[in-house]
Amino acid sequence: MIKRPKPGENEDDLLKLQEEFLKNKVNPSVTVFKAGDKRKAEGSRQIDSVPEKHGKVKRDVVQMSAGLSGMVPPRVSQAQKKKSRFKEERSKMPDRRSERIIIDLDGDQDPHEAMDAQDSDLRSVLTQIMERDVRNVPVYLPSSTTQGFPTVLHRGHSSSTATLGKKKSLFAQQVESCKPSSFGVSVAFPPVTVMTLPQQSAAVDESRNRNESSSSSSTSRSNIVSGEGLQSKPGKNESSAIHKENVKKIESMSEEILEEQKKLLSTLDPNIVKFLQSKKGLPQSGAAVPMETNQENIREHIELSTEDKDKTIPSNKLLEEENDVEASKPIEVKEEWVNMAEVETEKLAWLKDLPKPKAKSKEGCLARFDFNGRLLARDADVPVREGLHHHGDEQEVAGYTIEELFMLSRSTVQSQRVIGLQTLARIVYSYRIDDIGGELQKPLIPMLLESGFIFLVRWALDDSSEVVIGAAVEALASFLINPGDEETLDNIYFWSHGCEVPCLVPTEAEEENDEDDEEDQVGNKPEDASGKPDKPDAEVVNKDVVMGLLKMNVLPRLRYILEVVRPPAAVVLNVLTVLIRMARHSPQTANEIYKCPRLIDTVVTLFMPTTSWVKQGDLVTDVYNYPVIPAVKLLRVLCLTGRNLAASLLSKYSLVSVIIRYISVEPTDMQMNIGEAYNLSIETFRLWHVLISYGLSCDAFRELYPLFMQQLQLFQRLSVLPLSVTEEPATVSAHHLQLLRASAIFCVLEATVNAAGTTAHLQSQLNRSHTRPTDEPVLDQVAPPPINWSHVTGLLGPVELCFQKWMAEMSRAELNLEREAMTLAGCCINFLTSFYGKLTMQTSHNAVECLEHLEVLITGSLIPLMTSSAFYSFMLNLRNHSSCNFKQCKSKSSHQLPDFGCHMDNDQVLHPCIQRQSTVGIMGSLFKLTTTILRIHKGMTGKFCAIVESNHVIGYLEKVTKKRLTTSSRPASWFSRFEHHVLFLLLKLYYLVAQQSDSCHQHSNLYHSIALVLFTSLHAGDEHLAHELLSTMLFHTDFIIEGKVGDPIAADLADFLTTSNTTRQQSVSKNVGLESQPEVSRGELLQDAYGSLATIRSTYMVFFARLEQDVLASRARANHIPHEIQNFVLPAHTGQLAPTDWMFMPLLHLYSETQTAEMLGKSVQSFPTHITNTVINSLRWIFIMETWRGESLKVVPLAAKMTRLFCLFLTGNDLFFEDQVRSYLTQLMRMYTSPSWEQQLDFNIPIPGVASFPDLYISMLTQFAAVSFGDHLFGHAILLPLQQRFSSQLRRAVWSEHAGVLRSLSIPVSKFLIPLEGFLHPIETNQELLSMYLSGLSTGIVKQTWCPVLYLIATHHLANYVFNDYKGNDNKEVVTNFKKKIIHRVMNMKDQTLQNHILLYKCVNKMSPLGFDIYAELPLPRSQLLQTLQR
Amino acid sequence: MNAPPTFESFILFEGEKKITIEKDTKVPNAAIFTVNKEDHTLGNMLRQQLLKDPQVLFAGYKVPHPLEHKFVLRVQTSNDYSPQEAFTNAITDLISEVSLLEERFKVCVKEKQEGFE
Repeated sequence: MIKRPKPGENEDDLLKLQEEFLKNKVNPSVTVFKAGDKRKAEGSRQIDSVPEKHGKVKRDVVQMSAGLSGMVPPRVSQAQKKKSRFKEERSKMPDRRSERIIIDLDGDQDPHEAMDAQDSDLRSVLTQIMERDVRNVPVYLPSSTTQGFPTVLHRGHSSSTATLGKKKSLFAQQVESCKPSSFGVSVAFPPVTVMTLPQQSAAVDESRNRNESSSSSSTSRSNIVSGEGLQSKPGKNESSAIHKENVKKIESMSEEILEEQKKLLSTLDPNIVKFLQSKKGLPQSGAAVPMETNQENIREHIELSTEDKDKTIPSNKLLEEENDVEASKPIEVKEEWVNMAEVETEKLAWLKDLPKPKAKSKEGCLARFDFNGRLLARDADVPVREGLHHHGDEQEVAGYTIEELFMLSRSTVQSQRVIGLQTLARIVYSYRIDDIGGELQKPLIPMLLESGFIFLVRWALDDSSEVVIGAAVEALASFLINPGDEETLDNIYFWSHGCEVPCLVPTEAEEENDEDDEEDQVGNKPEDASGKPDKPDAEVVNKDVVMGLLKMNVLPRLRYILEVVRPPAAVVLNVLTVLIRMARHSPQTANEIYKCPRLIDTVVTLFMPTTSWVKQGDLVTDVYNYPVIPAVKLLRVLCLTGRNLAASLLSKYSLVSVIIRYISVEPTDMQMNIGEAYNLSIETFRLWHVLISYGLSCDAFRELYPLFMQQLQLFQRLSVLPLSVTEEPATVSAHHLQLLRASAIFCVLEATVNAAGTTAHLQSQLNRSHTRPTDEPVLDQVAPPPINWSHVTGLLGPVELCFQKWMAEMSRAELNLEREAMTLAGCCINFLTSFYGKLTMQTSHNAVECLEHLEVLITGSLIPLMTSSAFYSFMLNLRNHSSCNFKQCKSKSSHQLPDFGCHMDNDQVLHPCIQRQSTVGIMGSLFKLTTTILRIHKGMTGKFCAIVESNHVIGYLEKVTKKRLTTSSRPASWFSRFEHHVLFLLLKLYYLVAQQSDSCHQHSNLYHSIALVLFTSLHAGDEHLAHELLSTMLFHTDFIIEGKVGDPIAADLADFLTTSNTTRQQSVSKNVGLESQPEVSRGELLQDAYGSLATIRSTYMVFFARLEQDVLASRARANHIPHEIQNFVLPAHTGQLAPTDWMFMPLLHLYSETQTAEMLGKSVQSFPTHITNTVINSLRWIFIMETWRGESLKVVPLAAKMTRLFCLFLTGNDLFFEDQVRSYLTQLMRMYTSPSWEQQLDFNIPIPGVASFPDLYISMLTQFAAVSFGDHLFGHAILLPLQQRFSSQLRRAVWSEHAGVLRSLSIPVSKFLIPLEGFLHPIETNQELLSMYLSGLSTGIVKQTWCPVLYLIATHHLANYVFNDYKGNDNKEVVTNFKKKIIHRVMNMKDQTLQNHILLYKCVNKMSPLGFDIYAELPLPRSQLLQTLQR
Repeated sequence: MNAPPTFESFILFEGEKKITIEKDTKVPNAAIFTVNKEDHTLGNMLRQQLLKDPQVLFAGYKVPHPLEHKFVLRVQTSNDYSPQEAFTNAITDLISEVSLLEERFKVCVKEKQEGFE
């Protein structure tokens, strides 16, 4: 081994090593030897062997068609290593350069020699340079392709087989099949240079021949000499050598050839010539022919491809069109223009008009909007000057897509950003007001939310530029606010209870919340959404947009915008409306707004100035230090959300002085536009109304008392009749504003009366607590408001004058009243209602005087109105504007951002109750006054009997019962609350009247139905109404007079008549014990139930007692008890309070209670009597309802009713053995299973409130097996779902897993209540079930004595299956085999009777002891069948 | 941690009776037997045995709660027969059946063993 050199060794050492190495003559580890040039050899062989073929290319040698050969660089000498063209070139270039340097160095040498000496390769190239005759060679230019790159070649479909047995590479095959154009080389048709001289033509031919031979002869093999007889390689070489020789010879005598050829051709048989040519493959002379076709193909191909592209990319179409209209230049080039001598159309192409956009298919395309947020039709003819064309994907289409607008909104260029945001804002706005001018496939708002619109806007709010902020605020406002909502709420504000609005919290999100985090169920209020800082913003926004905004600190930013940025008026208004919407969200958010530092300060100091302000023109441009109406409204909305908030706002910002400043001046004297001045005044009155409703800021009333009195005097001049149509619109709107202001004043007065009415009461309480020693804790003592009854008594006179005038006007009115006028009249009536409501509580109350006064009022004003035709038209209007008619249009908003879906201009989409013409508000007020007065003066009730019985009222009520009130959880349906009030008051009126007169009892059914409908459609916030319905009306005998007029006895009679026809069997069954109590008849039960209405009532009252808090709160609001009102915000609207099946609720409740008790290990032995009574009372009530008010219960599916009754069997062990429970249950079951009912029963569909019916049924089965004592009633319940039309799963459960129950289902067929038809037809074809039947019978689990019904069913199905022709889907053979199996088992039975029963079964007969008839002997067809089957 | 002691399932506590009989007030000729410290093993067996008796109209049992080691058996008989009688008959029948089974089993085992030797 030879050492390797080490560091430190010098050259000598190395040399020494080398010497040593050489001495040793060790073989080097690596030997270099030259391998033969493989490629060359191969290449040459290839060249030799490749057959000549035009346009075909052989392996590795990529050869174009013969005509192309000129383009191929001349092949270098054979000896040269074959390189690719590019490689060659590359390798050449540097060589030359280096060479040149060398030449320069030794200048004295001959360059040629030097070159020879230097580079052998080059020499070989250069020496062979030979000028070619290019005169006839066509020149081919690479054509411009449509693509940037040559198309990719796809191998794989090489259909062409190697022509001469030589295997070709896939690539070669591919190239062979390709046209030159595929390589980006277009072959123009060779310009045929016409040679006139024969010499030349000969030369052409020659050259062509040479070309051919040079390109092909060397590469082709002889077709004639195949060398086949020879052995292997030498033979082939031989043949090729011969061929070469031939070729050479032909070449050398080229000129003679033609002549010889001619001679030959003339002498030879043309057929032979043809044969030879065909043998050659292609005629030698037809070199150009394939080229031609090629070219045509290419052209075709190009055209096709451009067409293809047209379909996909319109820009290509443009190109083509450009080509087509090449002649029409975009502009006329004028001569005087410099440098335009040569017109370059390509460069001028951009000046051309864009082509017309094509209208796309019906399926729709991306929506494009103009700057006003309206949809643009795709093919709309929009001039490009509008700026709607831009460099988007489709330049020719005008407008921006949402996506592009999003992009613009994120731009760093300010103007782009503003355009983006503004356009988005307008899109949302016009979408919300339905002015988008088209249809969008998906709702816009959820889509925007999903794509992060909120984040975009929030980010834009942080911009430093004022314009961008303005646009962002606009976008936020348009996104958050449904334009019609606030206006509508303002309109109904003056109605009674109109100021109470549910909060706009997303309800679905809340449910999700509860589901999501069940672990931290500390408080299920929405406030915990804000209390979780760990949740990402996006998640919060996804659930609740307003909460998300709060979380993103939008409030401080808005404050900054108002305080520091001081944007123009429009932006300020937008900010304020956004704040109002946020305050509407929930009391929590309102509190957040209040708590946000300096926010409210800024609003109050800047936008609610008490000093004088500069009067501005019609269009207010600077709102700073100028009264702004939305600012007042914001404070009002904040005050509505809570008493405490209102109190702190009041004390912190001295709102009273603001209020006095704004209302003590006549609107005409304000330094403002008159309309705005009125609105400001109205809004301020509203704010004050809220405050007084809490009992706050009443002292200002005393100061302003003269003002009010003066106003009241003025009001007497107002008229509620519509102005004549000839009036100017300006006058009309001024009139409307006046009316509204008057309404606002009435509202404030009403609130004042309410506050003053409680003073005495509170004062006495306060005194009591003062006088009493402190041994008992002082309750939350509220200080009485600083006004008392004496302050308001003076108001009654002028108000009553107004009232009388307006009532008279209304009863005379022929046309419909205007909304404002009705509002005013309503407010006036409300004032009187409140006044009289409180009057009786005062110590100064003089009963006699009051009653006399009321009599005058009733006979003078109320009765004339209520008997006038105007009243009837009101009633008719009510019918037309009932919420039954409410068709909910598609929701535009998303659940994260609920709104009321109101629309400013389109009255039709509004909830009917709040439409412009709706009289719901005034009717509510009117009936309220009536009932209030009647409660004071009971003597007058008789006068209202006519109204209760009036056709119009009855017609309206009938419509309501028929159509029921539409209720849904959408906030829009909340408006039906006002109709609920009207209905309730009508009921109350009936209630009062019915006590006095009997004549109206004929309508008790109707009124009771109304009460039932109303009870199930009341919303949250009206809990006191529900309470009152329960306590007074639902169970009142005046409403259910059937019991009085002898219906129970009639029921008995009817029963007797029907059953006597069918020989009723009162005989005692074998199970004497179970049936010992004689069945109680329906009449007796009804009588019993009717007699215990009072206890039924208390049962349900107890059951609904959990709502007590809500009842108190809502009653405080309803009765205007200022110190008890905590807020005017109702809980978020989630639909009705009571479920439609509320009468079953106690049963369900009890069931779930016992279930939980049993799960906790407490065994439920027996129930205390009060629980049993609850059950009995519920059953009584259900029974009454089903008998007399069946219509009202129709909405509950029968299966749901059934399952609720089933729960009774599952509750405890022996609840259903209680006598009364049993008798009611029996009657109910009898009713539900009667043929007319039974058809509605469907256990297959999902039953509301039951997760899975099969599960419930299985628990019934276990319960039955454990505790039932084979009770017949329970047995019926078990058997009922076993009918053929219900799921076979249930039958299978009975016959297999729970076969234990079969032993005890001992109901005799004759006593079976349910129609047997359902069990017997259609014939069972399920083989699994049939074999279960058979084994049940044969093993004796089901015996005739123990379980006659199921015995009958099993026998019936088996006999019919075997002996009747089977019409099913199963394979006939399978069926026959199965029949054989059954017969086999039946014939082998030991039990002879059973065998006979199955074989001789004839038909059902309820009267026979067996339950069915049998043949005396086997009928002939059966015995034949038996024999065939047994074979 | 708070798992009940394992013996709870079979040892009668002080003052507990193995079987208590209660007459059902609502159904004639019916009785409720509460058997302590037993489970489905005996409950199901007894019920099956009772149901074999043609004079038994109803027999059903129930384990009120899986952690309470007892079952409640309800028996109803025809008029001339009391549930107690049915119950004792069922028990004696069951015992003889089980002892017969035991006997036969032993015989079989013996035969098997002898066959081996």
